[in-house]
Amino acid sequence: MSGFSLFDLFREDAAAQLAVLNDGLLRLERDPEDATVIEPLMRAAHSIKGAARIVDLGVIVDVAHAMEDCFVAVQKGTERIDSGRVDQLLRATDLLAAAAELDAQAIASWSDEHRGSAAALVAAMRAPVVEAAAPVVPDAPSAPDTPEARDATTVPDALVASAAPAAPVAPGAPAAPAAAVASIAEAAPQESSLSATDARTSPESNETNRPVEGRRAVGTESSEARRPEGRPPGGSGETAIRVGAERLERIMQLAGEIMVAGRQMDSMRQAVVSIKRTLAAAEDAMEGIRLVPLPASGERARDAVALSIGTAQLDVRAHLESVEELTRRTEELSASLYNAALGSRLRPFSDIAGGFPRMVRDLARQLGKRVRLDVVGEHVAVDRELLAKLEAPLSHLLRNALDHAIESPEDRAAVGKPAEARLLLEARHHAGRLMIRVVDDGRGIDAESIRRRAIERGLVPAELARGLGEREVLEFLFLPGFSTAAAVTEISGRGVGLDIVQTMAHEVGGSARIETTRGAGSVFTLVLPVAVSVVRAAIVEVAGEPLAFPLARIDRVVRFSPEETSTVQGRTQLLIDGHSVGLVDAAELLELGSGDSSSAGAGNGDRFAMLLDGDGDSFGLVVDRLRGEEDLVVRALDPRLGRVPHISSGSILERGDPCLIVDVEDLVASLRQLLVEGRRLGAVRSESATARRKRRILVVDDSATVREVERQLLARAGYAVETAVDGMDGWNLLSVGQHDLLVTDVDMPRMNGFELVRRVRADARLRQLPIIIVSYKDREEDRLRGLELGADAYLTKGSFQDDTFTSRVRDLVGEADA
Amino acid sequence: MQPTPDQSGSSPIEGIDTIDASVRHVAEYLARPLSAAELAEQTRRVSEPVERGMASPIALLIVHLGSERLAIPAAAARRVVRRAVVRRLPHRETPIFAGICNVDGRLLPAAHLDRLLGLERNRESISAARTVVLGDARGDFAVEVDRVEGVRRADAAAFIDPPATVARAVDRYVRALTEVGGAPAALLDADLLLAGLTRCLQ
Repeated sequence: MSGFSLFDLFREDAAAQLAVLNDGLLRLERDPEDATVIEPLMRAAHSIKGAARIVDLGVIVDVAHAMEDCFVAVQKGTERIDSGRVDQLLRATDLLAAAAELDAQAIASWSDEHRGSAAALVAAMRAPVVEAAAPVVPDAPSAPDTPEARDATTVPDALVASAAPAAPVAPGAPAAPAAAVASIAEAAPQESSLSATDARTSPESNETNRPVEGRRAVGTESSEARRPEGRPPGGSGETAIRVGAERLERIMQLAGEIMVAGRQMDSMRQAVVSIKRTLAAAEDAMEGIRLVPLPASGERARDAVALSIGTAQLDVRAHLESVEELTRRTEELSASLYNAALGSRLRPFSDIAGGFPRMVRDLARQLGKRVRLDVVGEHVAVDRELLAKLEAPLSHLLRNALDHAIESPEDRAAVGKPAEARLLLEARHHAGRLMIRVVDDGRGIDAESIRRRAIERGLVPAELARGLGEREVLEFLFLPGFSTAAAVTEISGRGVGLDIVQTMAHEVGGSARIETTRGAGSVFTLVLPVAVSVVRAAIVEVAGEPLAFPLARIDRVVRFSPEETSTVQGRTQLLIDGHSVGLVDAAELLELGSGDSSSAGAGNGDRFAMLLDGDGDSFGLVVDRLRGEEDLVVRALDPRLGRVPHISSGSILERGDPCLIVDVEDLVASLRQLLVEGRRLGAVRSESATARRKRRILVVDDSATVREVERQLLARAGYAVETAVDGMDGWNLLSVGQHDLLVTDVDMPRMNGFELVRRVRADARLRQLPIIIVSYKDREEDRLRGLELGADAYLTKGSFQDDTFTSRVRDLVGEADA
Repeated sequence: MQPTPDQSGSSPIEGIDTIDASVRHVAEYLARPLSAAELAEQTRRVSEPVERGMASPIALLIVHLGSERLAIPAAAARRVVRRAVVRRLPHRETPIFAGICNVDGRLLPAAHLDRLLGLERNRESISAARTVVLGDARGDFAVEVDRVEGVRRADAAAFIDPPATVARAVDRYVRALTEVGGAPAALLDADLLLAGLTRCLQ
């Protein structure tokens, strides 16, 4: 157990129990008669109490003990649970969560800091449930969206101070620490020391309460900490351990390699098969001469050869069997290993959804609304990376629903809806995709007000807007900043920040849509790939290099012969289903010159056009060869490479070669510029390469002043500039850096400019580098000498006065952004 | 769980015999007579002077690139594998940066070490070519060499400063000249080399 402290064990134990407590308390609140939920709650509190005692966390022992007593009382029927009590218990749970996040060293100071508030909480839990004060609506008219806002508006200072260190709440409870603080504040009315500052109480806490008796139960004390029956955070009932993401990634990579290596065993098998065939042929040949009369010695030799062949055949057969057995076994095992490694990336949906019921409950209470959240599909397996990306958008959708879509209980009653609103968060696998729905039964979205707003904001001409269907109108909600906080009420809310939802969906190759019925509610649906880390792709070849196109992004692939194409206004077109589709050569667009291997196409001169769809237009990207389909595990490219235009990521093909996965969106954007907007290839490339490196210029001059002047002029024009103090220094820098231009003086110590130019032109790698000589020497013979040596331009230092210098630079290397 | 094979009697599980047979093959392979070349290599290794009494021994990976015998501090050489396939990156064709390759399941940037050093590759011995992973805290690179001789020890105290002239590209990366295993080798400065490789990415 070295490396694990007792406190680590406490932490793990507590983390598992916290989920049980949170879930159980919410269930209990919803259905106080549900007896089945009490037992796990009791055990969880008990278990935490035991664990806290072991690590000597007295504060937590007391709190957990009081919780346990509450549960025992409820179980014995001596106490009835209500929302006020649940508030206290949740608040206690938050305190436990905070303790579980501590460092072992911080226990003492944390305990000191929280002793007071914990004692107050314990006293509150031990006090009989009392009838709450009259409900008070939240102080802020529009619900504050940020936890900070809640802090500022509703939480008493003393509580903020005491609860502030409770940094992250338990994993799986996305409710921010400040939200937990808010709930502490809400629990206040029943506790004298806290009640004065904040009187916010939920509307439903005015139930009759019964006095609590016999709170100290006997028989539940046991030194043995029992495992809870409730679910640990993972939801599957297994023990979870922490593994670094990097290590997991490495295991994945190695498992992939084993699979590649395993496949190569088949070539071994084939080699043995071929030996077997050779031996069979030899045996046949022997058979042919079996009866040929031979002298006695010849017959003996023939028998010996026949015997050898027979023995060898037996050996080979045995060997082949063992090779086949091993090959099969290795393939099976490596595939299982790979799938297991891949599976370790999947986590249950409850990993993020687990925290939502609590968030919804707290927010609803704060807003004075009654909402019930049902989470369906907690066990649905989702890629870890996808889960991480989903958390914020889903939390956003739920908050939006609570804030804006769901009406107050009174308003609901007025239109004949049940006072308690229903929210549904559902995850399921559908047709190989992950489908997530957020459904509310609130007031729905008024498409007409969106239509008006779109016209007001000039997003669409009025007459066109009037022709749009409801579904199209709702799409406006996904536009960044379409609705602002001020517009929230006007369009029934739901619009704030929806662009982040759609952005996230698009990022991972999915989609988002809204359906709504006025007065009856809305449905937000996200359709996402199950795993962002695995993508089914078509592997094509361009200039000898394999490139992967995610299948979901390809319209179709068309095989054509060059004769079928026609050229219209300098652009190549292909007629497909009666439509003319513009074609662009992938090798040209991607700047892949012909590689080592031949890129001859499909043998008979046929080539392939990948038809890519972009907002209704179809574009054809011409590739040399179609290799087939594969499931690829997506790997981020080395961050040192920066952004590579038209490429989204890398992968490793089944046979072990690396391969690049194209960024279809980026490609389509370039194709559109080429084919629709008629830009030139170079312009399109530089456009798509906006994130690419800047042109880099090396300035060599022994005068600090001249260096600085040149550096500033070039930097101002946007170039990346490096400087060197003399020819030798410059030469050394050139050899290690990738420069697009050399600007050099002539007269310099150690190595003069002419010598530098001579060396550059003699160097195979640097031969093409553009060179500008800038010198005080304005004699014609110097100028000629410089140009003779291979400089592209010879300027005098007077050229700094006007823009001669910078425009020559631009002529030679183009604009600063490559 | 699979039952363990019964060693004493006939195996109840089909295939155990054949697996035993394959183990035998491996054993036989290991016990095979050595070829003349293998024997010579082993002999040469054994006959190498024992590196005792070195003032400051340093482990070097000896590689051949073109006509050069180069020594790379073993600490900077992470891995040597069979020649890995290098795939070019769109828009990124430069003389030194080659693309990406797969080494043990990792996608690494690959560079032309020969071009960085201004050396002409020996194209005849393509089967002897190896991919060497060089790296430090900044990250790893895959480069190809014509041949890998192996890891040898040398005495850092016996290094000779390289000539001050930097006539060739390779000279800029040479930290010292040394004798390793009875033949001269140019010790590359790993730091400079990795800096050069890193810059080729930008």
